[in-house]
Amino acid sequence: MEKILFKYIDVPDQYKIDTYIRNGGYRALPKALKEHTPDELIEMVKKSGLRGRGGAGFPAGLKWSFVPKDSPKPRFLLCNADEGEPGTFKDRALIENDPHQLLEGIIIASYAIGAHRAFIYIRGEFAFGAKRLEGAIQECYQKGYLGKNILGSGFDLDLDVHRGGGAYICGEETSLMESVEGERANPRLKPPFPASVGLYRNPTVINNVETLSNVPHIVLNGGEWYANIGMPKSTGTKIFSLSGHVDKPGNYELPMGVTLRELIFEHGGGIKDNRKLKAVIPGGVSTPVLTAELLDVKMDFESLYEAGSLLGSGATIVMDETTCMVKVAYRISKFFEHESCGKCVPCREGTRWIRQIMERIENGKGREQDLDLLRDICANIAGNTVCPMGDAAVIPITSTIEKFRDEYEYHIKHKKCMVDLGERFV
Amino acid sequence: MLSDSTQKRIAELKRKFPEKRSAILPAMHVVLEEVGFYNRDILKQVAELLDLSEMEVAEVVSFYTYFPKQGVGKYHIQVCTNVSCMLLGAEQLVGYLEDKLKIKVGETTSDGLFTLSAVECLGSCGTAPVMQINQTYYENLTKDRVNQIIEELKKGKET
Amino acid sequence: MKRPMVNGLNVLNGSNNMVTLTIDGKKVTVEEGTTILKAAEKLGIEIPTFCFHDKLEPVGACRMCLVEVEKMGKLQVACATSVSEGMMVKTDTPQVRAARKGVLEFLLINHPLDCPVCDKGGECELQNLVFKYGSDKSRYMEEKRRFSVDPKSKYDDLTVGPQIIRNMNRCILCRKCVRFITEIAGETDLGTFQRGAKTEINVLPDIPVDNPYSGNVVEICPVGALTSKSFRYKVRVWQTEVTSSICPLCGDGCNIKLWTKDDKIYRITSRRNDLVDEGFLCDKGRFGFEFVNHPDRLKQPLIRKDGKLTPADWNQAIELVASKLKTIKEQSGADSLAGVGSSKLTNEENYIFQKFFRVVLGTNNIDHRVNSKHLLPSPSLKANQQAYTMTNSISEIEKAKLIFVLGCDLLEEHPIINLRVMKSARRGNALILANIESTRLNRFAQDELIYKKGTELTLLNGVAREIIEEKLFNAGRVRLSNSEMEKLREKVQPFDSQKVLQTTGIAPEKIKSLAHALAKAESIMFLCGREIGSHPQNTEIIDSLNDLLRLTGHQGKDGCDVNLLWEDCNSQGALDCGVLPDRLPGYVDVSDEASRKKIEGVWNVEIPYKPGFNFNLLLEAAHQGKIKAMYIAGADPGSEYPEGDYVKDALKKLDFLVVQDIFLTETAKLAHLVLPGASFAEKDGTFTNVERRVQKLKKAFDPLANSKADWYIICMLAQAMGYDFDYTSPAQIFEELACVSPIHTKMNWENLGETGKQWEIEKNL
Repeated sequence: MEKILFKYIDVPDQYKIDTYIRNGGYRALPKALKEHTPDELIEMVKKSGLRGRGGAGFPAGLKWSFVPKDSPKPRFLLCNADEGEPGTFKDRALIENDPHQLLEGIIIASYAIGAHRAFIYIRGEFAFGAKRLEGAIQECYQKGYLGKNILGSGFDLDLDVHRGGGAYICGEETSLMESVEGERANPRLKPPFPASVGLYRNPTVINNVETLSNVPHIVLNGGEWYANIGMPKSTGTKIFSLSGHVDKPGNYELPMGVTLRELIFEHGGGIKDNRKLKAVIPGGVSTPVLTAELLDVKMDFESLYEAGSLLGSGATIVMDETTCMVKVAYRISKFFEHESCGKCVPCREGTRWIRQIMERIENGKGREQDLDLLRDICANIAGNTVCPMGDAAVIPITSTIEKFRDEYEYHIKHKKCMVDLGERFV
Repeated sequence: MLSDSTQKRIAELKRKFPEKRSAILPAMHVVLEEVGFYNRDILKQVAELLDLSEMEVAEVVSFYTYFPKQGVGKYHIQVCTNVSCMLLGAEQLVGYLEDKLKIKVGETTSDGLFTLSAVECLGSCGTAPVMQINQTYYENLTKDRVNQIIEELKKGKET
Repeated sequence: MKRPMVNGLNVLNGSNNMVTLTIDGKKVTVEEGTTILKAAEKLGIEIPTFCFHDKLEPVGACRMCLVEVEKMGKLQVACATSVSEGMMVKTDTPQVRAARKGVLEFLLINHPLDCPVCDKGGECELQNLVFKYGSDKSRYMEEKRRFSVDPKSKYDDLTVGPQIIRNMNRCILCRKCVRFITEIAGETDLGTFQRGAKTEINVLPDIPVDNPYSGNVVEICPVGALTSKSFRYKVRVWQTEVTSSICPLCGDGCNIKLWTKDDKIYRITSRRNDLVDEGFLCDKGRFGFEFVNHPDRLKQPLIRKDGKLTPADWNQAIELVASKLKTIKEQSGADSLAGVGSSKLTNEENYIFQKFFRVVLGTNNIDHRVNSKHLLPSPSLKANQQAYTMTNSISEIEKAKLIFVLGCDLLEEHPIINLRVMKSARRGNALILANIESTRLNRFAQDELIYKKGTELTLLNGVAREIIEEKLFNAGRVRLSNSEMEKLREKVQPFDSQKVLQTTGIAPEKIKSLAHALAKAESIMFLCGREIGSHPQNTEIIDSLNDLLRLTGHQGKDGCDVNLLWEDCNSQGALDCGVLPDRLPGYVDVSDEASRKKIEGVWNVEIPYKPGFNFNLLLEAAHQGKIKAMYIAGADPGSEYPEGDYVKDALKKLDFLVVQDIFLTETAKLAHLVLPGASFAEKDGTFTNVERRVQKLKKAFDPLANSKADWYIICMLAQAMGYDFDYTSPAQIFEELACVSPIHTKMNWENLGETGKQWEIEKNL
């Protein structure tokens, strides 16, 4: 299958505008500006079936269409480059190696929703990525792809890079907006949705890096073309970030619907050191863990949901037989405790409590009643929080207790792990 | 105290956004780049330059973990210990650094050169284990790589 | 500044669309944009909350108000979810109950079991809701999160302000304190630091919570995380009695609750009146009650013997006053007697004080205005005459599109009106300040004009000139006839920008922009304060402001007017009740025979028709020996009058001076006889606040020691002089006032209710 987003990802200097143009770049932009109205573009993206690649999977074209046409308020386009979901590293590759592809998508998307100001919110740690983006943006201004009257179309757009400060919660779209506004990044209540009340209370669209990077290709080849790739309800390709105990970890752009088995064994080179596969987290730590019997599940939104998990960001973490699942769940609980913003009671207090209990179990001080207690705490958090992070925080716990209860019981009974990773750092 | 050029850079940020509060995080990145840490005086200065109250700036900055306070070493070693890195020996990497630098996580070497922190996912899971030192990522770490990096930093050579 | 929003619907645009929904099987119809919480309230259904406050933007943070809404998968927060047509809400299902129990359990895992030593015990929202919806067992066996001030102790007891102590371990992070300080008080003293379970509410080092509204955070905190120094550990709330009252410290008239035990006030909290204070108090009023139980309170009558004031009993004192007044009246005539009432006594007391002078002593020599040499003419309620009062209402302030504050430091003089003005500014309305010095309110103002003291008239004339010369007015809206316009033009002609600059110090650009702002505003409210009331040209200034209203076409419109804000708790009432030399109660002119006859009918006696001396003239007359006796009740001209020595010399010349007060004031020290009155907490009565609202205060305990309520003392004096002032209660006095005074006719003790009633005023057309 020919790659879409990663076609030129390994070309050195692809990040420079001249190379990008030589490789076919900035052909979609003039087409969008001169041959299509904003409404037509929105229809095109709707037709393509493109769904958000950040994790939620919301149809992008539909989201764009929510921006009120008749509102006199200024619109904003925000690119979510916070990439904080553990296991995910796809956006970094796109940003560092083919930033113009993203920029082209941002400019077209801004035109489609009528935004004259756009921001790329990039996590603070991606210092190099931010530099690449700033360089690319400068090149765009020089060549007239940004600024006033882009390519003589009459459309103005200003684009800035806005660096975050080390908070996973900023990947949540309302927290992202709060962060851009210079507030403490607590999520907002929804409704109202960003399309009507967003950045500085103005209509705003927030899209993931990968989502926007697809836009130029859709404009060039048409929505139908994109819809014919992948699966009927999960169209196009997906960049899977494969990590953990595989031979060849890395980013793999594959059509939606590729099986987990193919991803891990054909592309990822199988389990490292010829060990046995124990568990897979298919879409980032907020997704339920899968066991080996489910290797033939298709990697798309619907199929994974039916299999009891989620596609999420497509960050596939592979764990072999030496992995202690309790240790993994404990480590994830520490993550969510650290990243809880503190606004709402269940998440703020609950994530800390969960971590404390997991710590005890991992360190040999678990009790019989801890498992039911954990499940009850999770039940009191899920669905009761301001933002989805509460739901995310309980998933690793509930899914590992469900699938690996024996390991938990072993910890409680024998006060130690069942297995050991061994010498991994050499 | 911030240098004149730093102050100028920060003051210019105020005009960049529809609301001046938006300039707080960008200003802190300027501070991080040019000073490497912050303290109360710096926050007060930033507030003044952005025409905000000290409280507004302090509240926001305290929410984020990326900006170290004064006292951080010249090289802030941030080792990712989240799942993918943990699966590939991040905990052992931390232990290795603790032994090598003779400090525990959260501490700074007595010569003020290195501070060791354990951080959350750095978004580089495919090349685990990974650490970030100041603004640079070091990936695919092995003991040899780590030794090399530390030696070069000690010599003042940043790779 | 953020605008308030609930689910994106700007609730400020009052919508007229009605929505019908069902809550727990009961139908209710409310305005579009109403939240489920408010709709449930209408049905009497209680939904528990922690982080919700009526006057703060809802945040949906505590998750206590989660309810089931049909067709919505997850539980929704009632405090921030707008109703929709046909919505079906259930507030008491197993899922809802489990959610509430869960939230409470989460709050209790770190909350210390401090109830036995926590001030909030007995009025703690966490206690109350745990009893109702929580579990009685704890499943938490980990280490509790602890903030501590002292490294050796786990107990947090941090003093964050002169009055406020923070105990972070008890905090449930509803953040109402920080939200109040940011959204209402407009300050930044308290902030939120860190994140997650480490979140901490704190002050910056060396910058305590020191704003004038800080005490509200103690009241607003649902648990004992913020306590006040003055109340801490003093008494348990269930040991106290609560009495409704009105704050005696300024003209805003905030509704308060007195918490007392054994004849002592332990604290004051708000008795929320949305028409006045919206549930907030300033620190002056909240913490300023120590004077009531102060050891220096006058405890019994004092009679001067051999130059020294010595204790006496009431019979002696009353007899002495009665006989002295009778004798002096017989010898030198009724007009050699004078009375000074008080802007701090109740309406009932002021009413029978002036009645005493007119009926018993037969003179109109009474006044109460002791703090200025420049008195405004007595108000009149005839059309197009000046009432010299606050003609708009407090609740109209936040609707005015432009507020112009002249000669008033609102924060200092009227802290709660100050909050309303800030509220108006936050809504996007314009605010312009003009004063002799800068005030903190300027953070919310478009412009601040600092003029030299006394030069207001020049400033206003300059602005009017600018509007006229530059034709900034809308000819169709001007409410001046051609000749009036000509006269005005002539009057302001000399006040060009140079002259204005020279006299006032205000730069021409500021005059220009003020003129433009006034000319294009959709509605204008003028607020005048201390500098104006006692100004040598006070009448001219008020007239100029009215001219500006007519010039810009706003005179007579709702919510637009010139407002004079009187300072004391009953300044307005003392005026209303006729403690004036030329006015009877309700601003009846003493020389208006027909109206005077009506009152004479009720009082059953002829009353003098010649206007008496105002306070300035009284002093002059005392100096000249024409006034021989004075009865001063509740006032302290010796301290308050601009020329203290002049007053004292005048008073020293009197043959007989009787002073009635609660402390031995500078004036009382000069008296021949001192009568101990009672504080506001020791009597029933009414005060009238700046917006003409008559509000009831209730007695919390009997007058201390051997003091007596002021109204009772006046009655005793009248009785001793042969007149039947046989009132048994202030309520009875009020009923008579309502009979006699045209502005109080629609009121009675009952219908004043809990929120008081304003007397109506005719708009100036």
